[in-house]
Amino acid sequence: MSRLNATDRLRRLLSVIPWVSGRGEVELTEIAERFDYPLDTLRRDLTEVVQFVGVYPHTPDMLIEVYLDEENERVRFELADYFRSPLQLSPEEGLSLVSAGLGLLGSSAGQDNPLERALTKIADRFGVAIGEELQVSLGAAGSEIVSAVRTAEQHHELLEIDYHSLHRGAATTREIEPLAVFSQEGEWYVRAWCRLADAERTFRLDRILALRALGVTFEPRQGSGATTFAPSEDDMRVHLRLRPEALWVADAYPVESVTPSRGRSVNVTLVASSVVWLERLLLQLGDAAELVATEPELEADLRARTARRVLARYS
Amino acid sequence: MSLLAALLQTDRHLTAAELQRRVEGYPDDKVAFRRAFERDKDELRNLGIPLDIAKTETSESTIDAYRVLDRDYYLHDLGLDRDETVALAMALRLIRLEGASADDALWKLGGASVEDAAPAELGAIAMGPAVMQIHDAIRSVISLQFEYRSEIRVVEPWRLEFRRGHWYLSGYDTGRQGQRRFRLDRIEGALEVLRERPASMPRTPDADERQPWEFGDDAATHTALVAVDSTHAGWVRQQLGADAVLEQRPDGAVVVQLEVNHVANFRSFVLGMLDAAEVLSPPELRADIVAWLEQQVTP
Repeated sequence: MSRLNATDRLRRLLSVIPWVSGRGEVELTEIAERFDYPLDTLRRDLTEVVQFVGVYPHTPDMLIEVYLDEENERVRFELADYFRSPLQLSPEEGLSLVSAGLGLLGSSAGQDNPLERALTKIADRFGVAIGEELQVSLGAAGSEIVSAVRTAEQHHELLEIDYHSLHRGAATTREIEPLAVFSQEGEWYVRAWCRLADAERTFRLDRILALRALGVTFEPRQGSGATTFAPSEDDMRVHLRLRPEALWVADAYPVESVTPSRGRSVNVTLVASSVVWLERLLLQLGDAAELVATEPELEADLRARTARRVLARYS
Repeated sequence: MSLLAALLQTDRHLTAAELQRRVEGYPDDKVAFRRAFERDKDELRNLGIPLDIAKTETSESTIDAYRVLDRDYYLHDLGLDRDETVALAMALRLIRLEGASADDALWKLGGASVEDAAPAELGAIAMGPAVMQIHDAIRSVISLQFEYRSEIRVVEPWRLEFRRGHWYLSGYDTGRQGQRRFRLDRIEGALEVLRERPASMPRTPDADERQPWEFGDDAATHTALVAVDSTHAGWVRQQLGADAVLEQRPDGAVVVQLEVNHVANFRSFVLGMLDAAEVLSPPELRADIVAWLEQQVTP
């Protein structure tokens, strides 16, 4: 925990006092944890600050009474009536709460969801029209899938998944040991030990076609600890020249550089994890993109060869 | 803190001189008191505490008197049940809000429960002043002006969406006379709220759940049949829903049916499956794919 300045401490105290007052006697350690309040600082603030807060005419009956037990471990307040309730939530905090809640809602399945009920109440209070005026999505995967993978991760349960890999362009069935679920750039992922590959892999949850909990727990391995999806050195680098109508590519995919080219075109360097991925992109973009180079080098007529291969289905 | 207590525990507005007497710890010296009092007022404002100021007549002049009103200060009962508060606290710990003091909101709701094992963070949402400004403008039905791609835009804001890791604003672009979507972090410079310019266009209903190929301005709607190999059958079934599957072939391949009114987006969808998919009908969409591919064979 970091050092707190006077404002940080006041901010916390204004929430701590009503919380304690509503409960009678409370362990200091619980306050420290709930409000991220270093125990020493808390103890000092209670005896040296709160103890002396009072209102005119400052007779003893107008002061907040702070009762610490003999071991200095438990506290209760009396006469803290004017701090009976915390400060209201600001509109910013209301909007933030709703945003965070909506983000999480996409990962928690089930009916009669307490989070959903809470968000409805807060949104009503702050005039946030969920859906109509505000939408938050941390990924396209269905909440049942995200929720099931999170449960498996928390309980160290082995999962069998049918996974559509865009790199391979096919579905495979594999057993995974989920290590961490996370959302990045608007997609849900799970970092897991894959028993098929016998290695750590990252899976996009919206590409999990079906999943079965195998009812078996696993001993969690020491993962790489990575909870982000970073391009690796092994990935292919692709240099493309994009015409204006294809500029969305620079937004949609991981790019390492964007530089202006002739006309209103731009040159981009993309990170591609497989040749199949690049083939799809080239065919979809058509004339709007020109393949300048790749590292490592591929055969130059990749687009034409791919087009020919697909055309073969139509002959 | 004593100042706040005094401002809350009063039935009328109090002048600075009265506060000097009522709040313990303030210096007697006039200049020193004024400095301390101004500092404390700023601090209260920083905490988001609304000071209500009223003018009070004295024999010589009119001076400010202060009070914090109950209804401004105390957290309204949000009517949250215990499990709802716990769920919210959990959301704030799992989803990191960048640039917002989510912690304070959490404390106001009673802090993070100790019983919960500290869960790993799931994701982050960047909250900035622009998000709040735009939300205000949407609620107040007011136009916004900002620079985007080196052009000044005047937009009637409709909706804020956080997707693909970024905030987007959807609204009616009055200059371009159509619905547009803007990425907030691409907005150049400051947002200007055009208070004198209320939004006038009717909002579109909820955000579109349509597929890209159903989006179009193309007048004609085609009913397309696409054969998809077994390798992609599961994926396509998930994308389109089981209802779209017309035929299940013995080798695991499927035939799916789509309603298309945006040919370019349909083409992109089919080509994404490379040689694992084939447009069977109608002839004009099949011809479109073939022509597109032939153009790429001969550079």
